[in-house]
Amino acid sequence: MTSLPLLLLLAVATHARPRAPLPEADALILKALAGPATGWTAVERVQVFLPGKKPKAMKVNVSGLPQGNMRLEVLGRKKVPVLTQVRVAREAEAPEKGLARLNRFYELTVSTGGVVAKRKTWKIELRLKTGVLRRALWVDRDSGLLMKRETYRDDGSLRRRERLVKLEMPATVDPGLFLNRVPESDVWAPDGFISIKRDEKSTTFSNGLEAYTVSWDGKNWRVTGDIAEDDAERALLSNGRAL
Amino acid sequence: MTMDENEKLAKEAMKSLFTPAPADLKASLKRMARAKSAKPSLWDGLLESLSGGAWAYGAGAAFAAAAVAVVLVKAVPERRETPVTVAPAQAPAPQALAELWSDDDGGDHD
Repeated sequence: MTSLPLLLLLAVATHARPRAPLPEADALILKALAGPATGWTAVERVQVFLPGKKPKAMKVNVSGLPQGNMRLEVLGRKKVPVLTQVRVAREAEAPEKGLARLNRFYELTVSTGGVVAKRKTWKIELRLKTGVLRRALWVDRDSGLLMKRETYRDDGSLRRRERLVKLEMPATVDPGLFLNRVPESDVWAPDGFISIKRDEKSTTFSNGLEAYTVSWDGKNWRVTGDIAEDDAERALLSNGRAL
Repeated sequence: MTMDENEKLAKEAMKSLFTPAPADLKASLKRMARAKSAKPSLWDGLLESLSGGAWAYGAGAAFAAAAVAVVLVKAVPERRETPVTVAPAQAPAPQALAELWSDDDGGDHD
C-alpha cells in the first residue's frame, strides 16, 4: 500500500511534459527589441503608482508593423485619441545598441513569466549592479513582443506598470497610419512623454503625472526626475545628437 | 418527217438548253463574287480610309494604341495614397496631459 503513492508520483513524473528550457537573456532582449515578424494591434493599460496617492491609469491603442514601426494613441477620458505618437523603426537605435545599454546598467535574469493577455511569456528581471530591481519585462515566447513592463523605485515599490490587455496578432495594420506624422522633439523621450517646457539650458518632459528634465549644468548634460537609468542615458545621447 | 429534219430539230433543242458564256467571263465572275460577299471588314475599312499609304498605317496603329491605352486607364482603378489620420498637429497642453489619467484600483488584471 505504501508503494502506491510512489508509483503514482512516478507515473506523473514520467508523463509530465518537460519544461521549455530558459532562453538566454540577451537573445530574448534582442528579439523583443526587433519586434514581432507580423503586424499586431493591442490595447495597452498604463498604471502609475505615486507615493501616498491613488493609482492612476490610462489606455493606449497600439499598433505595430513587422518592420518595428509602432503607433500609439493615448485615449482621453471620452475614449478619443488625444495624443498620437509614431515610432519609426529606421530612426530608432539598433537592437544590439539597446541591448548593450541595458547590459551596461543591469544584470539580466530570465524566468518563466506566466500568461499575459492569453500568451505565454518569459520574464526578464533587470537589476542594477547594486542588486536593486529596477525593471521587469514580460516577453511573448513566440513572437518576442513585449507584453508587460514594470518599473520599480529604489525602495522596491512599484512605480509604473504597462501591460497589453487586448492583443490581436497577427493583425492587418494599415501602413498609411505611419505616414505624415507630426515631427516630435529631436530628443528621444519614453512613450507618452512630451516636451512641456524648454529653454536654452534645459528641456522638461512629462506624461501628465511624471516628469524629468534634461539640463546643462555648465559642464555636462544631466537627466533628473522620474526616469529609469537606461531611458535617461538614451534621452541624454539623443540630446547630444540633437545638439 | 425525214431523218435530216429530226437531226436539225434535236440540235436546236440542245442549243436552247445551254446559254452562251459571256465574253468577259473573268470580270463577270469577280462582279458576282463582290456582290455576294458580305460588307467589308472594319479593318479593311480603316485601312482604306487611311488611304493605304505606309505612313497612314502607322498613324492608324498609333490611333488604335492610344484608344486601347485610354480604355485601360479608365478600367484600372486609380491608385491613391491611404488617407492619413495621424496625430493632432499640436501636442496637448501640460494641464491636458494630467486629464488623460483616471483613478485606478492598481490591480494587475485585464
